[in-house]
Amino acid sequence: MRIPDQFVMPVPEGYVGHSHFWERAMSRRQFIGTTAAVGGVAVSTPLWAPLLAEAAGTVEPRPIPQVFDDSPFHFQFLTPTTEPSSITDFRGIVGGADLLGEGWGTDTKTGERTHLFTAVDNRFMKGRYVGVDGRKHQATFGFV
Amino acid sequence: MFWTNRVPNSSAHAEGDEFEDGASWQVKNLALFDYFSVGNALKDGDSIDAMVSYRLRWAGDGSSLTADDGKNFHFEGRQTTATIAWSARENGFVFHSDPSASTQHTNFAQVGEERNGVFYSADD
Repeated sequence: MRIPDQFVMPVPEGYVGHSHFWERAMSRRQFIGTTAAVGGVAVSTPLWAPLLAEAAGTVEPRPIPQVFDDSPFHFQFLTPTTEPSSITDFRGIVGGADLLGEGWGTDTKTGERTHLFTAVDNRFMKGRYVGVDGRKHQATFGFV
Repeated sequence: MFWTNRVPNSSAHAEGDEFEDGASWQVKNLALFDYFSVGNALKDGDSIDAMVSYRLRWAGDGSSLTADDGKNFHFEGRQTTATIAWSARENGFVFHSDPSASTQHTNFAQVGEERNGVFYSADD
């Protein structure tokens, strides 16, 4: 698969990140075509009605202690030797995928279509965990 | 928690005693904020509402993989390949990925069992 040359993400001023993270150039529209399933997004639960009932009793997990590159962000990039889970005190099934792909974005007002490249780092963690309340719980979390 | 959120229990499945049949994770209409760029997201900058749906499939091919850093986590499973089909929509814009495997490339994918933190050396 051809990786476009413009997959170079500008690093925010004053921030030192992992180079892997910045290898994706994204315009405003490309971002949703690149990262909605990648990271760089946060769940707006009020808009996700079906989950509310299930999430209502969810006790927050704790993040893994590791951070990347001395940043405040508690996760590690997917590699054969790093930790795929983003929550700690956890025991269960983990799936993680770092993928490149392609797709099409459409401006719904004009109908104009744009060919986009995508980069995805998505993970699920399903099992038991000790929550911030110190008790054991069972749930599924997604790193999205 | 960093980009980590509760998802429905029924959304994720792993198959096979040694994950030889892979795994799947499907989420529909997940409400997100589109931050336009990773840098802006890390700063919790301006964003707009967006909705995404995706279906991830881990193939179960590849080889066994064990990772253990000696103090934080132990992972035992499979390094494999994966594919995703996903779509997103926000005000004035929709996106559909090309689900064809020929346009996708797995940088790295894994599925398996992990224990960490208090479970790292615990039996239960």
